[in-house]
Amino acid sequence: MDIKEKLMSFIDKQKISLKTPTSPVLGAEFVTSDEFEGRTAVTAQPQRRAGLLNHHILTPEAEQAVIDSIEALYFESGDVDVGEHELLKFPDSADVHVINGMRSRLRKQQTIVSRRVSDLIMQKQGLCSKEMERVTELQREVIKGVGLCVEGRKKLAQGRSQFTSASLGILANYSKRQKIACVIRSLRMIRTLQMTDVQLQSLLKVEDYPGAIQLLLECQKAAATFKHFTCISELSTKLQDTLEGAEEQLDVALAKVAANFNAANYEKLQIAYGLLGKTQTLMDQLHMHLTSHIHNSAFTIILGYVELYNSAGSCNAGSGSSFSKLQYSELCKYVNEESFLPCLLDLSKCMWNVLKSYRSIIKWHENDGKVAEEDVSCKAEKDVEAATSRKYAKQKLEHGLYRIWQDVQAKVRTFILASDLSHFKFDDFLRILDVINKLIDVGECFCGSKSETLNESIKKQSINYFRNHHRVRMEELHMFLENEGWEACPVKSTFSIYQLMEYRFLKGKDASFTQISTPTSSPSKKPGIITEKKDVFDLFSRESSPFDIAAEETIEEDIMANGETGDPLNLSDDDSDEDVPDELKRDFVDEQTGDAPQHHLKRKLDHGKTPIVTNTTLTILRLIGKYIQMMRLLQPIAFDVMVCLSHLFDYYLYSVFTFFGARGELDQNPSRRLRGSLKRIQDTLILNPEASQDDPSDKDKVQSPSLSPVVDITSSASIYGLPVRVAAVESLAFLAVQLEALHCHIEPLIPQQRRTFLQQFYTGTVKITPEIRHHVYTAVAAQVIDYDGILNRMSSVKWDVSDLMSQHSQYVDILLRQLQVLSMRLEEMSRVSPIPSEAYTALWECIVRITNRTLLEGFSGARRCTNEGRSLMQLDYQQFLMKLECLTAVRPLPDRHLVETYIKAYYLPEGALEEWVQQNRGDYSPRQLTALVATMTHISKRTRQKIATLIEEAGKRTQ
Amino acid sequence: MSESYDFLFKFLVIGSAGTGKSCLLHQFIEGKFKAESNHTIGVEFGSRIVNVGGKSVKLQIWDTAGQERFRSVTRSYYRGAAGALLVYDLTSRDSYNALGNWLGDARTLASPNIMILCVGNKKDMEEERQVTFMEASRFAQENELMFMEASALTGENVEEAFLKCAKSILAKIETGELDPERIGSGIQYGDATLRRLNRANNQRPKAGAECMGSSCRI
Repeated sequence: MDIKEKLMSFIDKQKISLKTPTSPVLGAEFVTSDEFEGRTAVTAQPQRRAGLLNHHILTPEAEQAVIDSIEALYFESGDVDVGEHELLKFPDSADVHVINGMRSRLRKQQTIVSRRVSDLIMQKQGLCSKEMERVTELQREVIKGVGLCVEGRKKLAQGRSQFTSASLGILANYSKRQKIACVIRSLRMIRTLQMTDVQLQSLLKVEDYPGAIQLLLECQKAAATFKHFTCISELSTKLQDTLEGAEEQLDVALAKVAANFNAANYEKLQIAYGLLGKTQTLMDQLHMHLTSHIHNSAFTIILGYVELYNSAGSCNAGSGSSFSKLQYSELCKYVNEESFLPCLLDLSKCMWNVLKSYRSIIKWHENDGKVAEEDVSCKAEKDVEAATSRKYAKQKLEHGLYRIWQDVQAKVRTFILASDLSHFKFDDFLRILDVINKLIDVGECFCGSKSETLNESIKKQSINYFRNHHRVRMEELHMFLENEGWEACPVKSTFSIYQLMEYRFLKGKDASFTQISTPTSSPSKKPGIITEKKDVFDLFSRESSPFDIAAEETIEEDIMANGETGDPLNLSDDDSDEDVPDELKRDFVDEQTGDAPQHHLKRKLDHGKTPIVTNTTLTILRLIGKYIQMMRLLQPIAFDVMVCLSHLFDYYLYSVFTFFGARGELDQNPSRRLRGSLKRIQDTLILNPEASQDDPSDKDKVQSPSLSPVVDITSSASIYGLPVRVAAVESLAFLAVQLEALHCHIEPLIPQQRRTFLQQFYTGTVKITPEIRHHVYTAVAAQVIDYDGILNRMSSVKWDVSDLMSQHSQYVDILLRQLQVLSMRLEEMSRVSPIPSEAYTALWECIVRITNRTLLEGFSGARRCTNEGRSLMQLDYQQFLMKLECLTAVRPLPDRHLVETYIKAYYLPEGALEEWVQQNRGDYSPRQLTALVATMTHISKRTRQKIATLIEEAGKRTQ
Repeated sequence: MSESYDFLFKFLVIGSAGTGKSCLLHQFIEGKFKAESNHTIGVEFGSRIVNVGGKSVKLQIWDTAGQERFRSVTRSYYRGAAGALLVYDLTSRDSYNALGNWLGDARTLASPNIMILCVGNKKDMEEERQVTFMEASRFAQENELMFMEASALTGENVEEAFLKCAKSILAKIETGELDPERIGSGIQYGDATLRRLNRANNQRPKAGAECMGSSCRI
């Protein structure tokens, strides 16, 4: 156990020493007593070796041999475990001697090696120290070099700091200066930029828009390059503002150009907008301005007139300001009659200016396009954009034409329709029409428009005007008719309507008249414009307009056709025709000498053919003349005028008939045609006194006239108003003849599709005047002879005489006497007031007809009759005829055959009678036929019966 | 109707040929001188509404031909005229001398109450004057006519002449001297309403009287 513990502690101690790498020297010094025994062996070893060495000094050769005997292994450097090598040499059986031998060899070897090593060291010692000295010297040298180096460096640093940084500073400053100079340049630029504002304003002021815009754009570009300056942002906003301001100015200038075209300004504007790249905007704006200009100027003009006349005229001055708040259409209603025409003229002129401006703009663009085309040919593909914008402009302008014209039309139309023109004087109205027609012409020239809007307004106003005009005329006519004395107005025998002022326009103007009257649906136009077809816009220079002359010249020339009257030649010519100077002089002489009126009357008799006209006829003729003129001038309503024209005649005809014809309903009722016409006139024209007053259709009707109480148509002294009736009927006939003559003038004025009315008027009304004549004279004829007395006397004649009489009956003489007296009185009367041959003939026809009818009635009154009695009838009638033919020139005597056939029928044989009755039953009344058969004693009862039924049938049929 | 008036007067313009009757009328209606004019054939007509003493009066004026040959034709227009302008030419004594005849015609043919105003026309031709103002004025006084000198050329006194005549007729109506309801007076009421109103006015006092009478009875 003890041994074990000692070993263990030894090992532990070894461990500790291993752990603490203390040098063996130190270890020896700190050996404790405990550790003593273990360590003794170790420390004793070197001492032993040293002992050995000192003992054995050998020769160098030996030494060399020993050294050579040392195994090579020991000279090997590197990690060779020599110990192990030696151990391996141990024999298998541990033999201490061997080992000792080995040990002593090794020791010897070691000693020799050590000696050798020390000899070698000793040998080299001097060399070493010498080397050491040189090293030290080298070291000194090096230290010195380092010192120099440091010094040099120090100097260098100084040099650097003293030279380089200064020059660098200079350089830096220089470059800085450069930069600042640059900035200053920019700043100067900026300052000029700021200054340009003033220049811009002045440029704008002198209307150099392209310059201004160019400048502005340049400024903007410049500003953009300086945008790194903070001040620039403000400046550029200011520039932007200025640009906007400039654009506004451009807009204003554009508005000015729109109102009043100025090529120079417009070109400037075009360029300016072009610079802005807004040519299309320009077109849009331009149209906008035109439209607003039309609106504004129209409004201003009308407001001006309204305020002018209302402030002067009315007391409520407060309302003056409120006009400006009114709508255009409302405002138009305040334009009074007085100011209407000047206002219309102003409006037209203003519109004309707008149109003219527009025209000029188009023309400018056309030229521009041409120039551009030439340009394009040079620099072909240059700007497609410009071309498209040009195209755009062209389209826009073409579109604009109609729109602008529509706007203009609408303004004018509103103005025209707002006022009631019906109370205007005719001349004034024509003047207005003329203005509008001119405007329509302008419109046609402007855009080829038919101006439906204006035409429609013209038509509307014309109809309205004409209706009113016509109503007043009809009322006047009614007055004329009620005051009419129905005396022939003493006109010259050569009187013709063409001598009346109202017809002068037809005279000598026929050529042009028919030319323009070729039926066109378009409104009336002055021939000049049609034939020349010149552009109105070229005809009038800068300041003038077609409406300048409208006020004075045109009515004289075109409308009233008075132009000719200004011609002295014509004047004298017409004047002498209109009223006969020599007659006039004679009239004066008559007046002075107090000559009886007989003087003229004789003269009038001589004339014979003098047309019979009454005051009313003249008035109607004048009106017809005026109406035809109106038809020419107001072509859109020509038909309406024609209808009114027909009313004039209708009314006269109706009046003549009701005054003088209606009482003569003796035997012949008016024919169906006449009745129809009269009924139509009554329905359309004559106010029904019983009808309610509010009927709107009555507005255009007139009262039925009543005959002036001065006129006497009932006394036998005046032959039942024969002269009056003659005047009435013959003047009506004259009127009809004139209308026939005017047919050729009227017809071309009526639209083709309306001409049937004209036809109807002529055939239905104008041509029935002869029937009126017949009626009126029948009325006289029925009263002039005592037909009843004759009938009475005839009934007392005995027709059943058995002797053949040689003397005619007394009643024939009485009848002839009456007729003779009448003839004489007529003769006498025609000396006072002329009776034209037509009237004379017509009257006699009526008288003879009625007389024959009376005689027929008388003959049929014979209850019994013999052959001899029949002869007496023939004798009586022959006597009557013979004498009558001396009294009147009327041939053939009307209804003569009726009487003769009736008398002779008595002789017919039984067989032929039936046929005769059948043939003639239309001419005689059933009573007359029955009476005839009753007197025919030679007829059998059967035939009598048969004929009686025949007559009965005939009677029924006529009923 | 657009035309409304209180009264309608029928007027007549008479006088020798060439005295300017038509021109006077034209000046009155149109306000213009008709430079180029012919002798009137028969009668012509014009009407105008004027304002007289707060009443609007429609004048219905017949302009007759002055030439002797038309006398018979124009006579029928005298009837029922309320007023007449008897025109002579102050440069023509003949036309002045004929005034008597014309006046005779008017007195016999027209209504007895006719107001006649004598007008000496062509006042502008002072140098050729043949009839003095005093002379014509005396004639007018003797024949109980109103008198004025006028010029259709310048328009002087033209309107006044017509107005004066209308005014005196209106005055006569107001004094009751003229009864517009009488037939042949040449005067008509303008509106049916006015007539109704007048009738009502006439009836009301009567009705009042009756009322009073009846109340008295009670």
